[in-house]
Amino acid sequence: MRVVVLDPAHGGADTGARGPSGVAEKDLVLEFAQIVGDALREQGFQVVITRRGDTDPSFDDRTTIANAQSDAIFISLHIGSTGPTGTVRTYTYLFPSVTAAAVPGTSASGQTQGVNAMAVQPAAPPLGFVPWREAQQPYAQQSRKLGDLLQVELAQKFKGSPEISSSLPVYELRSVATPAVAVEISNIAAGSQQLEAMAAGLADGITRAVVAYKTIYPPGGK
Amino acid sequence: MPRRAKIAVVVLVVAVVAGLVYLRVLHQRVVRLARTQATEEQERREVVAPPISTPTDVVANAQVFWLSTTEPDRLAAVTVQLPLSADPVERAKQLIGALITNPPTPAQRTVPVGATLLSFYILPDGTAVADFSDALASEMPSGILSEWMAVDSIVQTLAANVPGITRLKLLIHGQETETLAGHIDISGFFDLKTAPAMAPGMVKPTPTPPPAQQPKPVAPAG
Repeated sequence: MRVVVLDPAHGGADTGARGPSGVAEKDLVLEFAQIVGDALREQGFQVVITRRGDTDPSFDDRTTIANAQSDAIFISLHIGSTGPTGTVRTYTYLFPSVTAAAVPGTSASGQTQGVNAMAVQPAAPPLGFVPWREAQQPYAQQSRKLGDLLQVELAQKFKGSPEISSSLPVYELRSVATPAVAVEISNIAAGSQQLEAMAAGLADGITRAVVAYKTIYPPGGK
Repeated sequence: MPRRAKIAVVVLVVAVVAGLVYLRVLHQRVVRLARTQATEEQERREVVAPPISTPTDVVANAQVFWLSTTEPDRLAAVTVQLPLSADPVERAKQLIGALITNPPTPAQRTVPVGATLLSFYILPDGTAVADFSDALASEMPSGILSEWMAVDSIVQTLAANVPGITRLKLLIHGQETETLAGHIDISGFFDLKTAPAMAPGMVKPTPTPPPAQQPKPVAPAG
């Protein structure tokens, strides 16, 4: 794995969450993506960011950028509106793996957050025709490994965060044909200064996890 | 002090005093407007979503899921006494109504206050369809966790109190949509596998046919 695709959520007219001071999620996550990207480049990774300015690419546009890379992972960055105030927590989400019986095109399985009762399927080789909406399924196991490594690192940086990732039907992830997770920081009400101050911790945590992922799960390994 | 300076000071003082008086008037207007809007919201709700009362209503303890007071990134069941119908469709409507209108505190709210349940029915295979107004999406606080808490609170509240429902489909104003408000995939179904065999005051559920003017789901894009 040599490419990291960073996806700052929202953009353009879609501001995402707004803090009491008026700070917009779209601006903060763009800044975070640049800081995290710099830290990853220092470790020798090629970094692709799905938007460079105040634009709002569609889900498919963002996914297409990720799917055009070979040997990549995908990390979407969000800031939420829910969760405890006065502290910063992070949550890593991956798209639930669905069983063959439940697959066709309608795969939002209601996994309870934190339970992680995801039915891990053996990684099917991503060969042949793969429906766009199910492109993530062959990568479910790798996404789980990446998500857990990320969440372990981030939980050390941001106390109170869960120590494992959670399976949630995050729409954007379903069509990503590479290991993919969404990281959400909680919450926007923490204030812009507090959120900006945590960029360094976010960059360090993500970089450590990505380096660990590359080391533990080399291409072609199990 | 020169005469002109004195006049300037006097004019300045008068302007500041006038400004302060005007600010107070403005503040009072804003407060009055907020009260009016709250009243209008209440009146609107009474028209579009009047409290549901059926001949089989029995006051029973219901488990309603709102945000936890201690861990606001999780749901917690709150036992509330509600008049609940023996008819599962009406019972579900009563429970969702309580979920929207009666959170113990505003901070525990999961579903936007402006959201209303437009229709609810149960198909013979146990699939429940809940059709919400646009406000469920448009007034949803932005974020993966926010959206999931809304979906999961509906799913868990139904699962804990309405037997016979095996899975839930969410519609927004009669339409199938890909995401709730840009994050959580609601194009599929949410399982209610944990529903109790029989809740207090219940009779065996009889599936209700969909309303005559059932909105036609839109085929997902792509």
